[in-house]
Amino acid sequence: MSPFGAIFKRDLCLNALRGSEGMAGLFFFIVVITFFAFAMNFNPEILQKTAAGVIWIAALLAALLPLESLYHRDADDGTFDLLLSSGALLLPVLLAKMAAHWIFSGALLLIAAVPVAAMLSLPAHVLPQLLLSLLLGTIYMSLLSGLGAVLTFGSRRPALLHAVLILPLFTPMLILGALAAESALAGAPVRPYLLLQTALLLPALPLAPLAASAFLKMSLRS
Amino acid sequence: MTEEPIFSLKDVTCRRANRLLFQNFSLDVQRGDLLRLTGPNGAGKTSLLRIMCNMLPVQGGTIVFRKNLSTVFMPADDNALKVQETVIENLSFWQRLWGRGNPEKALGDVDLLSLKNKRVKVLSAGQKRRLSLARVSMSGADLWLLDEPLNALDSASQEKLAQMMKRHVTAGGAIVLAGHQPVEGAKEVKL
Repeated sequence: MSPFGAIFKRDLCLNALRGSEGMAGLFFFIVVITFFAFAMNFNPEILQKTAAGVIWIAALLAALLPLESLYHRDADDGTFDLLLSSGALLLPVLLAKMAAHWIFSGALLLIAAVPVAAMLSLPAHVLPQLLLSLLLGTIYMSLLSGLGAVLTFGSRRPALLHAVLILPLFTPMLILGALAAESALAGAPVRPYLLLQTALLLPALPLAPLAASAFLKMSLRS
Repeated sequence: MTEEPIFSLKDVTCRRANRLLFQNFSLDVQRGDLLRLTGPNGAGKTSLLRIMCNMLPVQGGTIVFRKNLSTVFMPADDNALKVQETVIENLSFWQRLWGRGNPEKALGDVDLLSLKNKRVKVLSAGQKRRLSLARVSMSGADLWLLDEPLNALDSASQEKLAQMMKRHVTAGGAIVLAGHQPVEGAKEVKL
């Protein structure tokens, strides 16, 4: 099995074994949106108008939760040290971790977005565009979250530092994603927003893992 | 004719956090060598092992090693073990990653085969240490770099480790270890 396959499979198994901790992002996503719906008294007009923004903000914050179990534990228990000392290439290792992060913060949220969108009174015809824009956005978030996790290794408060460093980079994706869903709701063209989201994602696909592996090597060797 | 060293440090200087650990240190490691680094706490034994596996930069000197030399490092404290997984799952992961090794045989070498389906979180500190050693032996690396390998091991396990190391060096590998306890057959190198 390739290093990518070995790490990806192990991270999926470990996160599943961690039970509720591994699924924290999904629970957070559902709970935040449900509470929001309660706070708005399930008023369909208000919920429909704000649905896209709420779903995007909840997805963005939920993406931060699996970082501890996927990255920081490997740094703390010496797994990254052993990988580096045995000559393993860090690029496939980090790509696998980013892919595993997407499964737990992206794929699960995409599935949960279907009932959640119904709860927020979003019409069914908006759902495909919402899911497509969330797909692009969550991949982007997993890539940047991996980079952010590596940058904060050794920090006493990694979550806070991560939020300061990486959350601003999510902003364009958040705005475009919410605009795509709102346009779909208004019957306006969605394609320009999806293309802009893709334009953000494409450079991040090679650059985030490359930068993360360079930073990780530097961090382990310091 | 003397055999070429597989790993060579020449006049190496190491400084960490503005503190000089050692300077102009030279060491040749050849096949079949079993070397024990000695020195007081803080002398730089762990740092030297980390330099040898490319995990720390040096501030001076040269490092030369044989092409395709494979190394494996066992840290003193962190075991890189996943406590949620079983003993065999921990080793199987590294086997898949490295594409070599036999987890069952490695567990047999350190007397842990009977615990292969136990979760790592129920193992004692000594058993976790033996599991880390099993992973080292499974790695198939030429050069083992072991930091305090005898920590938490009882006398029977120390004997097992001594046999394992002897087998490795006899088979043409080399070992550099750091530790305060003497190891049978090891040549001492003072830092």
